[in-house]
Formats: sequence, C-alpha cells, structure tokens
Amino acid sequence: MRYRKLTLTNFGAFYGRQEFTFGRERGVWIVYGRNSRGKTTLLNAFRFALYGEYLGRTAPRRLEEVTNELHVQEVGAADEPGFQVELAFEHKGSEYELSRAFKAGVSTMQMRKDGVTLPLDASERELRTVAPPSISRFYLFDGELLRQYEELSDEKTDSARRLREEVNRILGVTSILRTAEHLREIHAEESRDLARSAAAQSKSKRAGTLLQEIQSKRSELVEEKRSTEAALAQERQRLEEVEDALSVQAQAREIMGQLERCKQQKTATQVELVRGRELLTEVAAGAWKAVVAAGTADRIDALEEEAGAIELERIQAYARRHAALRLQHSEECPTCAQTLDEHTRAVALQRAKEGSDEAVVEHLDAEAERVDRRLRLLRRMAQESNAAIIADRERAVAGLKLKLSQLEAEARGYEEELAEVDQSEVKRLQSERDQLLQLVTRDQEFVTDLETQIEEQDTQAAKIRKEITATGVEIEPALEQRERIAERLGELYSASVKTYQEAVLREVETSATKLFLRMRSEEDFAGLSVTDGYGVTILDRSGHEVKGHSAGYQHLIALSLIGALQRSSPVQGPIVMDSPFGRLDEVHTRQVVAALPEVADQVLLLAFEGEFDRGAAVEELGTTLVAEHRLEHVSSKHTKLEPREVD
Amino acid sequence: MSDTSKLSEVVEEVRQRDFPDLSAELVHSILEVQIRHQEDASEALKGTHAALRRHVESALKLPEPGESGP
Repeated sequence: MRYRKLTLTNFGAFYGRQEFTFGRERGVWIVYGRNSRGKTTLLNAFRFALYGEYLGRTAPRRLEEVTNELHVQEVGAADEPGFQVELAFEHKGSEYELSRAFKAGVSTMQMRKDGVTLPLDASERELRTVAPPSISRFYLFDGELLRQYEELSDEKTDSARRLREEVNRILGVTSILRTAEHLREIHAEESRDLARSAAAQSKSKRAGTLLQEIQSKRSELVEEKRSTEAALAQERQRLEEVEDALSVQAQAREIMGQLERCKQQKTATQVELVRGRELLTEVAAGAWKAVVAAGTADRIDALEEEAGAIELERIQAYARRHAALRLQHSEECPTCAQTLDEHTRAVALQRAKEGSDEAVVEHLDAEAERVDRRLRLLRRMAQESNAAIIADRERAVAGLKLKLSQLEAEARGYEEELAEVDQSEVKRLQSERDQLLQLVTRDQEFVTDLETQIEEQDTQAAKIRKEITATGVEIEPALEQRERIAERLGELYSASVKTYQEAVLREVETSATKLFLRMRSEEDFAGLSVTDGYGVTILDRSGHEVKGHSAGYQHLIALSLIGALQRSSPVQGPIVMDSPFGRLDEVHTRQVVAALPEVADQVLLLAFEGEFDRGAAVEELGTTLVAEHRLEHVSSKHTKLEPREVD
Repeated sequence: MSDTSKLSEVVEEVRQRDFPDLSAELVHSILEVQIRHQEDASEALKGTHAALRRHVESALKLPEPGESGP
C-alpha cells in the first residue's frame, strides 16, 4: 500500500480544505509543528480515514469535538457542522479513494476502487484486508508505542502479552495459528457427521455412537472455550481501558513538565520583550537624526572646504613664524638663501612678523579645532542615521511578541489537556485493575485447561475413528474424504506454525540488527537477539548479552524492532510517526532520521522544530527526503499545512 | 498491504516435506481465504470449509491423473 494524497476538511485545527500530497513517491516526508499545532491531529486524520476513530493523547476523543471550531462558528445555527477526511492510496495496482465524514452525529464512509464505488460492506471488507485495524498502531504510532515495546522484556504484564499478540498478528503468525484451529474445528464437524453415519450402521454402531459422544463432549468444550475467550476478550478490553486511564496520570505528569517548561520560556521571553521595547524606545528617541540626516552631507562638504582654507592659513602662518626666526639670526633669505642687505632684511622680517604673531596663530588653531569638532559631530550624525537600527529593533520586538503568543497558545493546549485528567478516579481504577487482572489470569488458565481437554478428546476420537475404519463400514466418499483431508490439513498447518515462527523470527532479528547498527554509536554493540516472546537484547562483539544499557538504547531497540516488523510483515504499508525521538540524544536522533527510509517505503515524520538538526537530516536523507511541510499557526482554531520554506 | 507469499512459502515447504498427499492448490487457497478474512474469524472459518468442500467435490467428479490429492 502507498499513500497518494490526504485531504482534510474542517478536521480539528485544520480549517477549510487542506491537502497533503504524496504523489507516486517513496521516501520520507517531514511535517514540522510546535506543540498543539496539529501533529497528533494529522496522525489521527489517517486513523479516522482508515478506521473511523480519533485517539487523543489522554483518551479517545468524541468525534463531535473534532470538528473545526471556526467552521462551527461559521455555520452557526444555519446548518450542522461536520468534517471530512479523504485518503487516496494505491494497493496491488489498484487506485483507491477513501472518504470518511462526520456530520450531525453520524459517521459515513465511501470507497472507490479504480473509479468504481464499492458497496459499504465490500468497502469495509477490502479496507480490513488492506490495512487491518488490529495492527494499526504499527503504522500510525506515537512515542507511547515505543514505551510499550520497552515493557516487552517484562513478560508478566498484560500490556506485554497484548503487544506480543499484536506482533504475532503483524507477522502473520496469528493467521497460521487460526488456520490450524479452524481446520481442527472443520475436522471435528466432519467427524461428527461421519460418526452419525457410522452409528446408523450395525457394524459400526458402537464405535459410531462412541465417536458421537466424544464429538459431542468436544463441541461442549469448544463452546465453553469460545464463551470463556469472549469473556476474556471483554475483560482484557476493559483492562486496557483501565490501564489507559491510569496511564493518563503518568502522561499528566509529563504534560505538567511541558507546561512548566513553557511557562519558564514565557517568563524569559517576557523579560526579553521588555528589554527589546526599552532598546526600541531608546533608539526611537534619536529618530530626529534620521530626519536631519539628509541635509548633513551638504553641511559636511562646506565645513570640509572651510577646514581646508583654515589649514592653509595655519601652514602659511607657521611658515612666516619660522622665516621671522631665521631672519632675526641670519642675513640669508630663508626662501632663496641669498645674502640680504640690512634694509631688505628689515622689511622681510616686518612682513613675516605681521602674518605670524601669537594672536593670529592662536586664532587659526581655535578655528581649526572648532571646524573639526563640528565636522566630527556631523559625520557621526550621518553614520548614526538610525532608521535601520529602529527597523531591526522593531523586528526583534515583533519576533518576541510572536514567540510569546505561540508559547501562550502552547501553554493553553497543555492546560486543556490537563483539565481532562480526573485525579479522583485513580484509586478506583487501581482497584478495578487488580480485580480484572485476577479475572484475566483465572480465565486464561481455564482456557488453557479446556484446550488440553479438547486435545484429549481429539486423541480419543482418532482411536475410535480407526476402529470405525477397521469395521469396513461404508461411509459416503465425500464425507470420508472431507474428514480425512481436514485432519491432515490441520496437522499440516500446526506443523507450519513453528517453522514459520522460527523463520520469521530470524528474519526480524537480521532486519532489526541491520537497523540498529545504522542507528547506534557504540561500536562494541554488534547486534540484536530476538527471543520467542519478542524480547530484544543487545549483543557485543563476542556475542554476549549487553546488560544495563541506557534508556536511550532501549528506545533504539524499540525503533529497530518496529522497523524490522514492518519489513518482515506480510502486511506492509506506510508509517506515520509522531515525535519518535523521546529520550534520544542529538547523535542518535540524527542517526534514526538517517535510517528512516529503511523502515518503510513511505515514512511521514511529525516533529517539532528543533527536535533534530534539520540541516544534518536534509544532508543524511539526501534524495530520500521527498518534501518538508510545516504547520503554520494562523490562530488557536486554525492551522495551515504548508510547504516548508528552504532556509 | 497484504502479501501471503512468505506464509505460502513456508506452508508449501512443510507440505512438500511432510504432507505430499495434500493438494498444493487447496493448501494455498485455504491460506488465501484466511488472510482475506483475517479480521473476521467467522467468515474465515466458513470460507475454509467451503474451499474444502469444493475441492473434494471437484476431485470426486474429475480425478486428475497423477494428482496426489484426495
């Protein structure tokens, strides 16, 4: 299966009609968005299209609450508000257009295959085959799934058992197990008919009657097993709900942490904003400089000219003073070095003294300093024409205001999520969970016991069946063959289970190891080992189990296993991941991003800006990065899905 | 997303090795029915039984020379 296009209409924060196109590409798509911008909503858009449901962070959400609030306001009392999600995809050469809508409390679905609208039951059947709901969380997953994987090592917990069942399902082990069980049932049914036929004939009456009794007893046991399994399924369903509700407490703590971080950032931003405004006020006080700056250049030119003239006069004055000094002590002309007579020397000395007396020199020095001071001032004013500085500081203040409003929206989102948490329920839920665990354990043991009894009946039935054959009684050929073939088929599928499970486990192990080696940085970690219960351990170079590795490595193991399960599953399709990096450091996050194209043919990664080094990711993913989008915040009720601009 | 090839491969391997008397076609068709109805056990059971009946009826009417089936 490959996605082609997702279209949202008034779905959650996505106001109006918005599209996300995959086209015919394979690779990685990234959608960046801050918290509470709609990443989880986008994940849920796929879930709603495929399965008609929406899972909130703390609980499933009522569909009535999913309709976009702006749309609800727009519609008012004139019409019923509603939303729609359309998902176009390709599967085995056919093009599908799936559309699911919710309006006036009713959810509707329509599916077209290669342009032809399918009847509803056929649509549902086809959809269950293409994207089985029982394994949906392997394709649409968030960080919570990774946490559950880490629990696989604790084999006693019910959530680990559930996850193992799901892994068996995704790998196809469940299909083959169920086939074997169905064939045993079919064999029992045919065997009952055969027993009836044998009992009707005198030669085989006793054996036939005995076989009927055995089969009747077997039917009772099977019926009891079915009803116990049904009760068990209900108990487990309730247990799952109770555990989910309890996990809300843990999630609430996480949300409170996020809220606290958000508040701290908000305070820091507010301080920055106050400082930014002060700086702006300061620079704005000199805004008049920008106004007068235009006339400054002419004034500078005039002053420079004046300064040049004064400097010339000063040079001349100093030259005269020097000449006067020479003439006082020598008969030689200071300019041409000729000997002067007494009269000429007296005239020249008089002229030299006139243009260089102390008062003239002092006046010229003072004038030069005055002009220079004014020039420096005007030049500084010209340089400090502060229009650009004002614009810069205005931009900084606007950026801080935006950041503050985003943080406020984020904090509101967390507060809304926290409002959903009902602390008073915890004790009651814990008590209910304990009771349910006891019930589940008891019923599971009872089912195992019933299975043993059924096997015993089957063994006895096989013996009696041989007795019937030995009597030489004639059984209808078709019935006889159906009964015999069903038995053989049951044996074949039972024998195949172990072979298949072993083959698939080794494949998962190889595939998980390959992914793990791409993502790990510790060179001594040489591979992974996967146990029958899908527990995973790290192996060192000498093949020994590595104990006590970090939580980050637990995270890497879980990601490796999910990717491997995808590759080994008979059911393959795109993966949508919501913030899967959890406790990973920068290096490992980067390596996980680089390994994404190996996890599935199409990977849609939902992440917040800064969750990983984007530049490094772009470089590592290269051509496998198909497109980047961002969730643009228009308002708390409106998020736009837009292509991310190139930096 | 479904692809039964790996399952089929293993089942066929076991059939050839330990159950050569069973028809490969029947074994494969049963697996297909089971995968097709993997989300509906009741339909899967009915479909499997129907496949067996069809196979036996067809084999009794038209036994093919050399076939190792029923």
